Amino acid sequence: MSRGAVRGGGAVLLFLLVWEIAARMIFVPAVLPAPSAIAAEGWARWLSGALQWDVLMSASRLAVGFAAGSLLGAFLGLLFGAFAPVRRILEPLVQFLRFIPPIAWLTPVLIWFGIGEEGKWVLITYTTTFMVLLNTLAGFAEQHRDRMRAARVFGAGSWETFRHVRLPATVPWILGGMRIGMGNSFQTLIVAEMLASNEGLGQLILNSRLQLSTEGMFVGIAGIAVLGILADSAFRAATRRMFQRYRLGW
Amino acid sequence: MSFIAFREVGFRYGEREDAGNSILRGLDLEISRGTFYVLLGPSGCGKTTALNLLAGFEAPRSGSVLVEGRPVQQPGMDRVVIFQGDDSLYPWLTALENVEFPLRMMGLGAAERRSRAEAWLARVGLANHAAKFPHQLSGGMKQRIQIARALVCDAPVLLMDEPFGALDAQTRTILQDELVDICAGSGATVLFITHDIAEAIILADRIGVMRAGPGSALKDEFELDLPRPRNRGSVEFAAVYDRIQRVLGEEVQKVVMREAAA
Repeated sequence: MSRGAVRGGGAVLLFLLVWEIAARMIFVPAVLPAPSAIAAEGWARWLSGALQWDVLMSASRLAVGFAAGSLLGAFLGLLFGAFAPVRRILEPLVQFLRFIPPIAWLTPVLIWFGIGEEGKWVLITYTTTFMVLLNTLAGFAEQHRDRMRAARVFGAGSWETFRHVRLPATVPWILGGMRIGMGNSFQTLIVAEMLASNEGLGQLILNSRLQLSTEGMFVGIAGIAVLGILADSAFRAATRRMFQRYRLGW
Repeated sequence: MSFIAFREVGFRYGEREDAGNSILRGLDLEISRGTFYVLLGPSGCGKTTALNLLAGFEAPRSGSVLVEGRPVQQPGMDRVVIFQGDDSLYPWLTALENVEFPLRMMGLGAAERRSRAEAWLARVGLANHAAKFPHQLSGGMKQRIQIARALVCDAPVLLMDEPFGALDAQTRTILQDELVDICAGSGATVLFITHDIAEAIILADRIGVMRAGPGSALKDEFELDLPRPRNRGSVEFAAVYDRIQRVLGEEVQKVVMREAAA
């Protein structure tokens, strides 16, 4: 393990230790349960199978929405980037929609798709699509005068310039948009699960409050953190390997 | 008819002409086939603009830029460019793939692309760095990739915009000598931009000195018949240097005075 990882792990352990002491000495468990109590609650839920189910539900919603949103966002971004008229026509619409937080669509989505899985897929797809699209457009907006000039000198037509110069230059932006989109998808997911779901980590947090189980709330919160770290690490590791030549910044 | 000709070329940015925005005014310049022509001038005099016009990146406001009697319309593989910085290399392509790029655009098959590109990489001394990406290479090595990428096209005209300007003095000297060797065998006509008199003397068959801008044009030309390879320490070298320095020095002085006044 690297020195940085050891230090980072040490910081987490120290944080948990301080929390443990503070929880035992200062707070009552209903306000702030100790990490050990949260771990015990998590373990109990794991043994019953309930925790796995919540994680699986949340993860599957994220996976579907993230995959669909990434594909759709990249497709639209490339379409906008390749065809300037398409961008001119549709960009005002994008600018109109961009300030509406995805969760604002929750109520209409509930009416259109009901409380089932489809509604969550739609919301997370929307969240991801937007981040990927906006980032891809930012990538296309970046000017590389000499690269473009070299392409013209060396005989590239407009399609070849797109395929061999502008598209590769945008790859890191697309992947960066996917990463941000994944982060934002967690927010959308948790709110959607709290307000309109019977399963998932968001519902675990809300339900625990209703059952006065502060430990359960923190199990849900910790579950989100762990799921997020795992998803992001997996994404970074996979893209680093697949897109080695693009020198991603992670 | 000369091979390359600038006739009464004017260029400016912006629609209406005013005191400051005219870059070139009435530039006449002829380059015969196979000549290594170096354009010298103080900074801001429009020498890069002249190269951009010949490359087809910009169009003249007045006059014409001709290659074999035909006006330049757009960039093309008959006039390849070696750019000043290394931003023109594609960072996601290896050295070899960058050199293959023009061949790919020509539609050549993978095997031929590879063998031609490898031959040129070897020629510029990068045979062992073919699989490296530009960011893994030094500034001098990146300019070598650019040289290989331009020469792999077998273009009749090579345009070089201060290609060694950003390199350290040692690397620059080495690359100048290598460029002399490479161009001697190619038969290409070269337009090379620089503000470095010594570099011009090492490379050129003919040197044009431009006036200080705005509204610059050619001030004087020098025919160089020193035998190659040219020795930077020789008496003849120093004599030519001195003659050019006197002509160029006046123009540089104008720029300095104007900058001081502004």
